[in-house]
Amino acid sequence: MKREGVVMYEGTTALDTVAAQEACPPREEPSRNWWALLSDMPQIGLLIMLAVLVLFFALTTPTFLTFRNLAILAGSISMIGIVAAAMTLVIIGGNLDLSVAGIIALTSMVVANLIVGWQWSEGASVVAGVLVGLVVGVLNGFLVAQLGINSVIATLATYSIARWSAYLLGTKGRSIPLGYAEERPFFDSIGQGTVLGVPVPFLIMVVILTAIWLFLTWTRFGREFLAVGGNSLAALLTGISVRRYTFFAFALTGLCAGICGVIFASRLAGGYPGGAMGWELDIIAAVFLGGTSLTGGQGSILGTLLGVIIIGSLRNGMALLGIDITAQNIATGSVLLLAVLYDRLRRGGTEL
Amino acid sequence: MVRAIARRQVWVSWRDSSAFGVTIALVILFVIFSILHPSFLTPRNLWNLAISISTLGLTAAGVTLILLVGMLDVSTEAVLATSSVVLAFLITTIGLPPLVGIVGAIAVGCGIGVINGLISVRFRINPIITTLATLAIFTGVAQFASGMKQIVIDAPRGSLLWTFGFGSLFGIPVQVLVVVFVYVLLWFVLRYTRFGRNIYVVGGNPQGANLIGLNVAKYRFIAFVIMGATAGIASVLISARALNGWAGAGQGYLFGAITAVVLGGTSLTGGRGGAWETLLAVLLLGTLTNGLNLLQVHPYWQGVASGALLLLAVSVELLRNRYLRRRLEEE
Repeated sequence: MKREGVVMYEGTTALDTVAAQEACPPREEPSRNWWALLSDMPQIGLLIMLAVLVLFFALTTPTFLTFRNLAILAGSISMIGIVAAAMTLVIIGGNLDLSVAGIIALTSMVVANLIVGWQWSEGASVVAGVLVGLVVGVLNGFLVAQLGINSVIATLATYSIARWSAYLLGTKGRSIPLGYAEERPFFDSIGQGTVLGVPVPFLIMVVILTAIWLFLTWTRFGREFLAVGGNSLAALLTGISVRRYTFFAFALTGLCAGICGVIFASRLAGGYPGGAMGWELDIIAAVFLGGTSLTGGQGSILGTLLGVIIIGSLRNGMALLGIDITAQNIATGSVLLLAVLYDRLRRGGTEL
Repeated sequence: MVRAIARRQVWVSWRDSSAFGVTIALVILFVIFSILHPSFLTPRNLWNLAISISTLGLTAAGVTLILLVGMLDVSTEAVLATSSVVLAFLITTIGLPPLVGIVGAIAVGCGIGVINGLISVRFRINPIITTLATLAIFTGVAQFASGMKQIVIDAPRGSLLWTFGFGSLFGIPVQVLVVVFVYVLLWFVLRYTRFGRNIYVVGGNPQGANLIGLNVAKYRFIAFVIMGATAGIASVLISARALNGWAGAGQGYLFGAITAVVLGGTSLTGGRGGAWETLLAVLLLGTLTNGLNLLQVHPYWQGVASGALLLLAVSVELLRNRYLRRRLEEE
């Protein structure tokens, strides 16, 4: 089979054959070696990284591997994870959403305001909070997909609007504490409850991650988009509507940020207009760490989950070691840089 | 006759540029504010207005250049924070003369620009990701180094740093002179030097620029370094005015600068825009803030309004592009 290209036909020269071979090299047989298969998996590097991190923190702190701390860790990563799952779709489409932290703060303020100020029932307040997230997400989608505005600029603007609206909702920009005096069984359980020892936010994250994973791997719409990504030429050739997908991705991210905001309000028992400051970095870093690329065609929910766990463990472990939040931010930024640099070096091509 | 045609062409090109709308908006704002508030048009308020826009103006000059070469830098606030802390550290903690502190602050800005440029250009990492990471890293560095506290700088009246903050020359504040100098330089370089014209080529059509033998990477790298340098100078102005160095010095400047540059009609995809348009838009934003403060509009409302203004600016820019393209096709 492979030798066919070398057979000389009349009128062709050896040079032509070489050129043809270079143009379409013979397909390589898939390797049977299990180790080669394993190292081909993009997630293997992440697993090793996670193992090293866990080992390091387990050795340096006595509390890292306790059940109590792992439950805390699971609860805290789930808020990042819920948004990161949807952000994966945005990034596969070649866009970024910088407004998520603003949406989380706004949602927490809306929910707290409705419960305390307007005396709404818990269920209605939660639904309203999630809807607020969805509305901002739809606005983002409209601005980017329909109007064609650069996603960074559009979401920077909606971030500003959401964040300052959150401040406007509190009297003189103050946070709205819910207090622990009153019984709110449903609302409190969203952020603080456990099922069989597993935190409820973690379960919500698993459901959302699974849904998005199913969408990306089992539906035609999802598979097509994963293949094409933000490459508009490829989309044009295959006839896929990038616009529709982009709108969907932004709306979903807004919805997930809304859910995250409700969990945030429940965990901290109140609305905080200055809350979730800088979370977009952790979320975006987790997605890039997971191997999703901005140029499209590459993205995996499993990778994003691993990225979220790595960043969460990093922050949790550093906090246990008594390292303050500023140094944690330095570490998260460095991990993001190293992840994208490693990805670039692995795929080669550092010259312009 | 020839002169009449030339005059008409100047008029048409000005009418079609984004500076047209910005100028009209600026005039309208001036009229409204001077009617609504008696102290708006006083020399004292105009003096304050001029000083308040100088930092934003400097940052916006760098952002203009970055957008012209088709890149984006979101790490500006971290540069402002780090440079400000370094300035205070060199002068107050170590006790070096102000000049060394100022040079040090600008050098830190250039240094961060070099890092951003190296990673984005040499390793071809998306500039937004790169600068998002350096934003986190250097904000953290500034907070860590200053211990989240404001480091007071002692600058006696008449010293170099005091002159930067409060001095004036021929009745014009030194801060304003610095901004005017930077903008004249930027305008001259962009318009009358080969380097400046090549920046438009690199931003407007990178592949084409490569084909005609321009080193695209070099221009982009230099733009990152200049962006860092202008932010460094801006942080000197902030610190000289506040007489302290702290990690929160840069808050909100990136948003303002990007709004101003987009408002001024600089294209987000590179290759179109200019120094004067940005300066006009900075003036517009400064006037808006100043007037709204005089009218005692709450800062939170101003925050919401600024987000809406940015969206409006981008949308108008898009519509203008479509209109111009359609007219080009008709001709």
